[in-house]
Amino acid sequence: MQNHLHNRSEMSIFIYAIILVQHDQFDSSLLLETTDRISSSGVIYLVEWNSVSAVVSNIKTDSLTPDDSTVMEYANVIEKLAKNYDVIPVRFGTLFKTIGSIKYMLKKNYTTIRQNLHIIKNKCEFGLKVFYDSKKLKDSFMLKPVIGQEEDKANFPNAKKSVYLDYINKKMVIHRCEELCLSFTNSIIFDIKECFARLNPVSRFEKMVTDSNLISAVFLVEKNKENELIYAVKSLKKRHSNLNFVLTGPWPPYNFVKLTNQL
Amino acid sequence: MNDNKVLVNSGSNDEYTNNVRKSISDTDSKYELNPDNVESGLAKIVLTLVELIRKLIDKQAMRRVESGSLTEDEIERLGETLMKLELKMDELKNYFDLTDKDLNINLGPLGDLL
Repeated sequence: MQNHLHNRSEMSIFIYAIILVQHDQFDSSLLLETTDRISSSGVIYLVEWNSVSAVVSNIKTDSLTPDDSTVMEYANVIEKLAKNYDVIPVRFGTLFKTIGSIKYMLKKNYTTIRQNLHIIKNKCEFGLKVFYDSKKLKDSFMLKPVIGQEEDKANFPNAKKSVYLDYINKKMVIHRCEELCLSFTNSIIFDIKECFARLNPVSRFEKMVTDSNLISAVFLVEKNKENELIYAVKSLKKRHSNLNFVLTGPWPPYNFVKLTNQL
Repeated sequence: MNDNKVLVNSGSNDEYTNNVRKSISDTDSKYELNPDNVESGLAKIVLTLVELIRKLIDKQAMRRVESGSLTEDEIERLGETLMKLELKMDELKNYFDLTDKDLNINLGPLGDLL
């Protein structure tokens, strides 16, 4: 948003999240004893504009350190808010100089904020990671003659023995192997989508994130559908016993909020 | 955050922890420029971009070979070019004391560069 971790010894206002709540409906006791590291006074309060409010605390700008415990404290506040309200998390380290500038930001972005709040209404985020040893997977594909040297010999029956053709052949084996891995990953994503279809989630997938992480996905699902989601993941495991599935959540909708400040 | 956030884990907890640690360290490639490392820092950034372009050329070349639109001579010339590109890249990495891991970047939905 406005300033990220600027280093000046002055007071700033740290913004945690934006919620659809007015001051008189806000239960501030939810957030007691949560902000020793971020807030200099330990007090979290709301800055309101129209029907939306920013959840904020005052902080000495140069005292904000982006270490694990501070980030956890920030995440804790958002977590507690998310249990009771629909929350738009604001990126860690977003600071404003004055209450007026926060109100101005809320006013300028009011339509987008309301659109985002509509998307996440009564929903929370779940993460699904699918693990598999991709080396094992690639090795199993390598064993298939269709991607090995035999086919290349069939493609180029009169090929002269050349170091450059050998090089291309080796690269082709790796290329076909990668294509097969990708197609395998796509088939798993298809299965996941099929299994989750009746939950009607908004989803996002990342493929082949690391050697062991085949798929990393996030889903925006209605809050009361957690058990159905767990059941769906367990049925996926039955279909793919060689893969490891890890479902986490519920999380605040970190990956489903699209809000860029228009100051 | 105190609640257990893992709802289903079909593998072991140790395995999950190791995988998460690995995914964090795999993407721990920083591009820091300061007055003491201008040359190597810049080389790292430039070579990462060159490597990205080289990988894209590689992919495109494999697709063309696979499509069967190239003659044997063309494939041989392609092989020579790609091989020399790779050797030159290795030379540059050695010169600036960089490894594949140094040049790795996460391309989001496309996965890691290397």
